[in-house]
Amino acid sequence: MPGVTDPIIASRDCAAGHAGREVFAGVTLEVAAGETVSIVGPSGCGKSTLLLTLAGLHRPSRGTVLVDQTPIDGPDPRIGLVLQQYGLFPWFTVLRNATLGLAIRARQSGRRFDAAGAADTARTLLARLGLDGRESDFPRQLSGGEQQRLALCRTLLLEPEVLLLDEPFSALDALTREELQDLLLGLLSERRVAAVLVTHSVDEAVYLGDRVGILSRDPGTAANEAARLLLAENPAGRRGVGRTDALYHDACVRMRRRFAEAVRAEAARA
Amino acid sequence: MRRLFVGLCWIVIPWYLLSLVVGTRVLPFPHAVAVRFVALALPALLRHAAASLLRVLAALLAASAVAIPLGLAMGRVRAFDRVFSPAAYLLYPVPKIALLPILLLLLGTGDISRVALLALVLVFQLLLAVRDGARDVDAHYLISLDSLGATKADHLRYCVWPLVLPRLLTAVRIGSATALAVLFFAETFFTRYGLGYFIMDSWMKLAYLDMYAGIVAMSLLGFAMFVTVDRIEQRVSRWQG
Repeated sequence: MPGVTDPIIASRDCAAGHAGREVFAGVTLEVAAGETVSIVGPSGCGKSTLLLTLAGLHRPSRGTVLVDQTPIDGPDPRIGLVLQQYGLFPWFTVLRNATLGLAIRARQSGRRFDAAGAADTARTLLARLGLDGRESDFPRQLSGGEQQRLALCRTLLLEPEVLLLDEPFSALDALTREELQDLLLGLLSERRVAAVLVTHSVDEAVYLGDRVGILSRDPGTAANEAARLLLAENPAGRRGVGRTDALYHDACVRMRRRFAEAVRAEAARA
Repeated sequence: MRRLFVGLCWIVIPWYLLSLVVGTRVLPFPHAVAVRFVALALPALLRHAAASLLRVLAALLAASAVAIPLGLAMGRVRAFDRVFSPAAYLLYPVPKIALLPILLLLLGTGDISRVALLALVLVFQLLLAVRDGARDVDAHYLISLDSLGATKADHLRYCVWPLVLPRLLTAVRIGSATALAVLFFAETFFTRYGLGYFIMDSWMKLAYLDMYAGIVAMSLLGFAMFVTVDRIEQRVSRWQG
């Protein structure tokens, strides 16, 4: 597959794992501004580890991660991460959660943190995400969907060039998930960030991604074999295509079948 | 307020009954003690209560100054935990009151010995609470902070400390009760101030009404400390619901 022109984030032949065992290897990925790559894979194939590696939070055992052609060796301010469990701090209010990243970044760059200005900016985005009037609430008072909006808000306030999303909608009910998927699509188009989304839902991957990748081990390989990433253009054409088109597109049906095989192979290995 | 009234009833009614049984010379009626308490409050009790309170607060400050940084280090850095936990486990169960003679010998007969004794009562309780709180921090909070570009200092400020604080306050509340009990004993030596001194002095002078007024003052001092810690705990733990 030809490389992407001017990728914002790239991984070159990356491998990473835990306790000396590589969970994925040979991952080469390039994502340009305004592009979204969705990665699907069965549980335990290393999707979250891959995302943490791209975020600079997990050191690759081989290969490099580059942002704007420069290798990174730790968290990078140009990268924003939305975690599976939202990563909110239950002891801070909605507003404090939203502005926390701004406070940390300001102090690190030696600037005085303008709390009032940050609160104003946060309120605007919170309102856009349907959280107006909830600024003084604590995360426990929010629904799952609202918590996810807040996590998204906190990351977007940092104006990242790269947005990494780790199964962001996996804990939500179907209706809220669809609603947030549409919201995310709107925000991604508007801000032209490079996004990498990992999910276990093929439908979600196809609906949200310009390109879709499968991270899995080939059937028949040993249990300790590292997973590989296989990337393809979105079989449904482009991201944001109608849900029904995405769901019943021939290529998507084939992809879903292949994904199901990968899951079964994982189960057999276990 | 209603709960306070109910709590008082649980104490005052049995007290009246017991006074009737054992006689008011040994156990005066609560209203007689209350009248004496009010009469003594300004001239004597307040001064003695202030002395006791200052000793407890000084001990709390000293214990916190040691327990908080050391507990955080033990909770977050395994090497610290390996070095200090065995010592803490060995010293924690030792009855601190038994150390009073040693403290009097080492630090003299002044207030420093009494404060040191109370600090020893508190420090291990606080230390282990802080250590456990710091150790139990869920890694996903730290990953979340790291993704925002946080430093180790940010981990402490934004994540570890907010989780440690409720545990620390619970330890302070429990430790304060023990500290007050030890304080009573420690104030019976080489001092003329403190509620412990006042109670024992009144007892030896056979001034039972004064003695009971002193006991009530000690109880109220403990109550005030509990309520204060409770309020602070409620405030900092609002997020827990």
